[in-house]
Amino acid sequence: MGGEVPEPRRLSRALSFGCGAVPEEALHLVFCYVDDPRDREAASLVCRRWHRIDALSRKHVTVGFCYAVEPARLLARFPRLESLALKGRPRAAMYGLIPEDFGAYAAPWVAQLAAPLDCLKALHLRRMTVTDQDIAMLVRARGHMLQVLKLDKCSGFSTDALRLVARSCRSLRTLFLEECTIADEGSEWLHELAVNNSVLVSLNFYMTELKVEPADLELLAKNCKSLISLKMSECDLSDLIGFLQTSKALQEFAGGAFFEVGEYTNYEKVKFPPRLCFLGGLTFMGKNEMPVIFPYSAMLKKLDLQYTFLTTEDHCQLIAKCPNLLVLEVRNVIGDRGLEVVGDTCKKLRRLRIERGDDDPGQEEQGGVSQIGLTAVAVGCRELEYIAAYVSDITNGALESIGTFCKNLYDFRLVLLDKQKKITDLPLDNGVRALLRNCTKLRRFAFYLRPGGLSDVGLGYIGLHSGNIQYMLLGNVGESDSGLIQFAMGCTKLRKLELRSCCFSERALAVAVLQMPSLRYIWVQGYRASQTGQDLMLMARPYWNIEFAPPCPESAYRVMADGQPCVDTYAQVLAYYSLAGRRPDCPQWLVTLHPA
Amino acid sequence: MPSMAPVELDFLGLRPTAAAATDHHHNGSTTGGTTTTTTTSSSSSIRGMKTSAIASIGAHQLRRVIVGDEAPNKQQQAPMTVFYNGAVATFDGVSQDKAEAIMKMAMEVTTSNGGRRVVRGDTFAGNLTKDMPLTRTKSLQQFLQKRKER
Repeated sequence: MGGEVPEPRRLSRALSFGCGAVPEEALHLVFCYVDDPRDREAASLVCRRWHRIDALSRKHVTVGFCYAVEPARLLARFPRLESLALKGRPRAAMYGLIPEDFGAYAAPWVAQLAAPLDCLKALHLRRMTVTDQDIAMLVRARGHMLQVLKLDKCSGFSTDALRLVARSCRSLRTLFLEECTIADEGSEWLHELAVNNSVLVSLNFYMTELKVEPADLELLAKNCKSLISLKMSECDLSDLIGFLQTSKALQEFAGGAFFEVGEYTNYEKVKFPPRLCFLGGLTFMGKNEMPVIFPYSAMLKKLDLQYTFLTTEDHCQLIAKCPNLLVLEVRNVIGDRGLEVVGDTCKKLRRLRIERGDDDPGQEEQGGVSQIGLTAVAVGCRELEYIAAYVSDITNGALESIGTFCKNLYDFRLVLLDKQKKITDLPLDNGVRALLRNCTKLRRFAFYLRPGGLSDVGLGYIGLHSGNIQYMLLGNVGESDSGLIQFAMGCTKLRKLELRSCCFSERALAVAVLQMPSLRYIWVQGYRASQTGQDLMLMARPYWNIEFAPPCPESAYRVMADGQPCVDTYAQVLAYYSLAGRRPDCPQWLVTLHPA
Repeated sequence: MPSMAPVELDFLGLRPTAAAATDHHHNGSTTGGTTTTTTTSSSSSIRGMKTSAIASIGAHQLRRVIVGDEAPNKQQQAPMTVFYNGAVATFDGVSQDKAEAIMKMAMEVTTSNGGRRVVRGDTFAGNLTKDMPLTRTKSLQQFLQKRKER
């Protein structure tokens, strides 16, 4: 989850120096205080001099979509970059909706940037394809000074590359591999890391399938006295007792599994380090094993229970002991009752995530979250900045409550599950209007409903009150093209849009895109697609790439009652601003409509 | 050719009459006469069609329609001033016909479903929820799978 907290823009217009009146050094110094990328963008447009100084002093760049620009151009613009973040595959890849061969290869970036960027010490690749060769090239060029390496939901490499990193990157402070698909050729990489590194602060191979030796973890703990965070793959907690004892500075731990469920005696001896304030993983932890964390519950700032076996009642019991929580992640088995406990207890809560549990009622008894729980949380947790919830039922009132009480909200995501036939209060037009009007700090917004969940009027409200929202995901919203146009007319600041399972025509999509002045990226799946995507060309314009995955043959013959093409489930549209021109490496199923 | 007053189209709804005219439900037909104009400044409608509909056309499309067919016509030509998206543009040689064509195009776009049968959400209901189920993140899917196997 993106976790940036927005900073207020501080660049003052009073910074107007006369030509040549101020020495370069002074300007450089001033620029060093300007961090916000939007401020930097504005400053770089003032004059050539400022543009040059910004170019030379920019420390970090995030390329929101790796096909938006060529590596060489980035190098020319920011030759002294210290930190680079690149994002590749569309977000939908996390939900299995993007075929593996989409692309987003790290190779050209590493090949063209690793050596020339003399100051580079931090690299973050998200949802990209990275090979062992890419990592080897990176290490060759930058290994001696690399401090941060984050491969975030990437795939295509093996533990051999990790061995190389471990051996060569002795300044590495952060190694992040969360949710990567890594070919496991053995656990020596961790041993190498333990032996060669003494400054590691954070190691994360959480949600990977890598098998490691607990002894190597202990060695790591011994040698890296400043290790504050370890998030690892599944390993029985009873095997980690040694590591946990040795790692005195540890504050964050995730991973650990309770494979011997019901055998509490195995876990009695587990003692977490004294400064521990974040616990996650705890896979399969059940009611009997829960007491393991009771001694630490009062200190906990972050707790992730998504992979536990706790019931609603267990959640109530545990959370009641955690008054200092800032971040809580659970499945919806927490239920409305559990959320009431959250509202009563966790007054400092900033982030709440309620994931979708098993649909099978046998597995998750009493599970399911509704307007009751959401309202309780809104009323009780006034500091909330981030709410993501899969709900079984919802009302306008609950959304209004969130708008009334959660004034600091900057990221709100609601998904209405599709199992319950009748929802208490639809459409959600008024509720969403109240929420958007009142939560003025909102920057990210996701609203995924069902047909009838939001009318065209409601969709228009979202546009009208979109304020400063930069990212939206909308699913099953609106009734007709008119709603989409109304929505688009209001979204002046929207930069990235994802639409799924909507009823809009290709033509309306194209026209809508043209209404949104800040839009630089749009992804759509499930709309009234044609075979060729012809109407999408209505939005053709310079620097705007349009890529289209045609609908599958079976749906080509399905038409609606009014003779219009049926909503097709496989067609995808991906359109984005790019300075790099047409993508050279599209897979076969993805057609470039523009540039021709 | 007699000079005509320039035609001003208020995209941003800066004029109160234009603001009053904004609503969600456009009617597709041309009504005779002008809409109610309370202030003195330039008209905010052409033959009754709401001018706010213009805002739904992108600038380049606008240009395309304007530049489109240069067939000489005997209609009176007047410069058209367009306030759009914070910028002002003046187009020479835009006839009343052209302006109406732009309006029509906008109407077509915004009422593309209203003009024909409006397909309400519930008529799709079956298709959408059957064909496009909610998917889970891979991590959660793996966990739930493992749990079933225990």
